[in-house]
Amino acid sequence: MKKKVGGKNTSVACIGPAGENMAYMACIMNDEHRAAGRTGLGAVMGSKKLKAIVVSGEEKVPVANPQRFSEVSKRCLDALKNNPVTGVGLPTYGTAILINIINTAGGLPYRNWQTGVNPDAEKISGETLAETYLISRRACWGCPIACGRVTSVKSGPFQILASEGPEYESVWALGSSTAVKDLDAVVKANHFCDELGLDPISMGSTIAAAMELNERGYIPQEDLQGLDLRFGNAAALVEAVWRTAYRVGFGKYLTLGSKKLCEIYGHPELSMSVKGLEMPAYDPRAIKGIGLNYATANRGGCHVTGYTVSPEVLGIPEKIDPLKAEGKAKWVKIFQDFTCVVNSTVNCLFTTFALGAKDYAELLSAVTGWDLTEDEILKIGERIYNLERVIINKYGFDGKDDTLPRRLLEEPMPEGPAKGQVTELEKMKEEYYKLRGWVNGVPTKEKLAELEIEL
Amino acid sequence: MVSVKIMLFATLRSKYKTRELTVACNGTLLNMIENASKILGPEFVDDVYDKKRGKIRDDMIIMVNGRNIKDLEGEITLKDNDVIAIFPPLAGG
Repeated sequence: MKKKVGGKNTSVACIGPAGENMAYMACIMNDEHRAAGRTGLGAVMGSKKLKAIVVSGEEKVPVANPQRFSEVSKRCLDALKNNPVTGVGLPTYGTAILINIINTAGGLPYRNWQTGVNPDAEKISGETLAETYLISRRACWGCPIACGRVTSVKSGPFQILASEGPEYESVWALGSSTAVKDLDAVVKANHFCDELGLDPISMGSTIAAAMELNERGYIPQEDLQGLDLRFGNAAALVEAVWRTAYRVGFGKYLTLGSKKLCEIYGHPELSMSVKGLEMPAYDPRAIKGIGLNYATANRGGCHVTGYTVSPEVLGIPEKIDPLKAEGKAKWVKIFQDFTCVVNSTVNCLFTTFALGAKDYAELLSAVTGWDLTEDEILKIGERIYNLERVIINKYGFDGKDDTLPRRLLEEPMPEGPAKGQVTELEKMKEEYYKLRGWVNGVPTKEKLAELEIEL
Repeated sequence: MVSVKIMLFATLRSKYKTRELTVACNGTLLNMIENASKILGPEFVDDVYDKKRGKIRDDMIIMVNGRNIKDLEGEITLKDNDVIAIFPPLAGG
């Protein structure tokens, strides 16, 4: 397609076989290894028979105040280079460096979230990836951080030539939730996700749900058609990804995602999802604020919507106790609002480990000629968040859907530093709705008027 | 004296070529760090401890049995078989 369109700076966003076959977790792949990953956008394109969007251009982007923009950019770039996370940690180890720290905190979901402690975490960690299959790092276009990993598995049953990733989330979903401790199989399964156009989080989590359903005897063996889905089975993991993309055998069931899959087999409580979207790699019983975010994120079980793991575990911008429910609502709200700004200006969320709302206000003001303060830009973020919420309200989602799977609300964490904990969601939700100006998950008329949202 | 296990991660692991080590100490974090530096080398102290301010470096992540020391109240007294995990500043998504 690049050859057909020609030109310099040609870029492709396309779907793979998974999107063409409308798998629920199909994604849109951007230039081979990055994706608009979550919520099945690939299936939407597939349903419209839209295979790809190809863009090409050589015009310059007009900037309102080029000198000011140059000064502010330079300052921001320096901040990114000098920050230990964006300047050293991420470039050296990539995101999979989180496996060991989240596991140490007792929050790395294992065996479809039966516990938050994985005894084999070290085998699938960022440190192990760096020692074994890592070839080099890679940057997205224009990025100074370069957290991307180029990997290769030289030999064995899971051999691949070269791939990008796996990221922390991919390692967790394909390797920890499934209890697969063979890192080469995880690398290969992730590679298949890239090649076939699948979201590894939802894919891995759906496979893990199927593993638990199967081990509990809830799936008739003839449905599996030979796919031996048990926790830890590395070969079955890799095969399951392929069969999902091509709707082969049990892949036809996996293609539906964990919510429908678990409903079909009579155990909806085993789908570890919110509003139908499988939750990413942090157990809310050990990290409570992220639980509130999962429950209230407008697109469902999403971590990047309001990544409070940053203060709760990593201590950025400051350290708050992950086991406390009090005071989490304000963090979730501010992270959600600010993330809307980052997304809307089309920047990488990882810049926020070094840059704040003030930096974004200055960057945006220099580019557009608007004169925005830190407070104003956060207000824009709040408006975006509320507009998203109004849209999902219209589709019937409200407070009853701002919830978490029963396992996280009622089954105490069985081990680790968070042993005995449940998520305490109701407490956090009450505080959150007050701060948001919502009633039962719906923005009030006063809130919408304050944000100048007219319906 | 108590015997504790220190676990190193990320760039600390590659710098000291050590994944874990067992040290004896009097139960304070500072004494544990000093005794660990006898095995790892004197620069370990500065990697983890801010001598000027007389406390653990703010940017380091130190967890005792999975609990970050910043979330623990009062003076920390290490017990036999405690596991102390030390991470440099890191992040992901």
